[in-house]
Amino acid sequence: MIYIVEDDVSVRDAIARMFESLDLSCAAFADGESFLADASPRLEDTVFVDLHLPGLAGSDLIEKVAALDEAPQIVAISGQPLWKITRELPKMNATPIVRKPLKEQDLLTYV
Amino acid sequence: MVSSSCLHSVLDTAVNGIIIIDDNATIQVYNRACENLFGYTSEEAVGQNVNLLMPDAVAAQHDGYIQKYLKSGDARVVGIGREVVARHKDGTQIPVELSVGEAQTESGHQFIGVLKDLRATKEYEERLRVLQSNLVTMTRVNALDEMGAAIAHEVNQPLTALMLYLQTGARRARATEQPDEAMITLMDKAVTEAARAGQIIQRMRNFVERQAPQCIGTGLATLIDDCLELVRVGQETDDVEFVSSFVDYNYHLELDSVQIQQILVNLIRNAGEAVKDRPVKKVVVSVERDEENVFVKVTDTGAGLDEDVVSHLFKAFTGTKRRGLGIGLAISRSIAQNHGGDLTVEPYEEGKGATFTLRLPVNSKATSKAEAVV
Repeated sequence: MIYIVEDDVSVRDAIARMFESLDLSCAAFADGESFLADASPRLEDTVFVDLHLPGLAGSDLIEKVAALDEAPQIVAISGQPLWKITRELPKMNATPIVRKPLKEQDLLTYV
Repeated sequence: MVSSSCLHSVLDTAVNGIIIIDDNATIQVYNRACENLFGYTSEEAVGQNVNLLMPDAVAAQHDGYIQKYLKSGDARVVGIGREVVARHKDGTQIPVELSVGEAQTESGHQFIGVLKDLRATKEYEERLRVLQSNLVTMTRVNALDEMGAAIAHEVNQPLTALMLYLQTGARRARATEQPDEAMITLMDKAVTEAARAGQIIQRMRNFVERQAPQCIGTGLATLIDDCLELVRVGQETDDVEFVSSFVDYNYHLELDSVQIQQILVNLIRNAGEAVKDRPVKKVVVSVERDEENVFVKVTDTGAGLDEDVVSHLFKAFTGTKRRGLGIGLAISRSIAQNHGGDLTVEPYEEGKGATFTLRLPVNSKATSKAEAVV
């Protein structure tokens, strides 16, 4: 299972449709709160998290997900300038980061 | 008839240097201001050729100038006045404004020179010029950077979606039973173009990200004074009062002075614009401090900014000014954030002007630690 947490409607839709067209099952969420409430990621899953989220910050979500018992693979997505990303790094514990704009290859590497 | 001693006391009271020479260029009168200006005493100077007070190149020519003038009446400086370079006893060159008059006396032709010391003026002008040119350069560079960053950021999301839609579409076009070759070609071309746009955005971003702030210890009060001076110089009229209430000249802060200057000049200039048509035209820069931050506040006596304006104040390309791109505040805020600080505006209060607050961390390391804990 692939999870996407991304607040931008178009980006979220485009990523989901891309995975669906490859017959990969995925679920998309607009924010960290709804992901934590409704998803139950497991070890073999992958979670793509946009760092810039409303409410719970992307880096905090990553911290929480990484602390799960069966923590899935986590990949951060960011369209932010580097200095903003750098500020979040201490919480992210070597999570790989994909920067926008991105191509499908950038995401497919991780699934 | 004025007595000679009276005349000498007048000469010695004058702020400007006054020299009288005869038609052989010999110094007859040399007042007290000249002693300070040139380093020679009156005793040393009187009786000498006036070219004593000139740099070598001019000194060699000067007797010739006088002879030529006396013959032809072709004036280079007499009755005109201009900036010339004089020479101090210790050899240093001094910029002076020289005006020369002439008189026919019983003892012959005399020239009267009045010299105004321009050193202070020159230094001041030079300092302002350097400040201004730094600022102009930085403003240009930063405006470009910020426009780049703003565009990169705004375009990123739709471009990402576009790219993924196109790639998915292209794959679908290939997967059908009877693939439409023309359609596939078009989709592939579209993907290539989207990729090209993405590369441009990335290049722009890489360029911007190379420029980290250059932080060095800077006197905050002096920096504020400089900013006020820069804005005053650029004003068309001088009826706006720009003041700083921060006078702790020993207080130093680690910051990129040119960048912070750019923020403050931008804020002060905006404030100046806001009070133009107001009965009271005043802009005040004040400073507040706590343990972790310094707050530099720019307050004006303008009409204030209501919530509607404030809500999109810091977004690029949304300004209400007819001139400029309206990215000044967006740039300023991102510079502040690059320093680990921020730029905010106080909420609207009926009857009060606007106050912008520039927050800067006292110690950037302490701040980043605090943020990591939060």
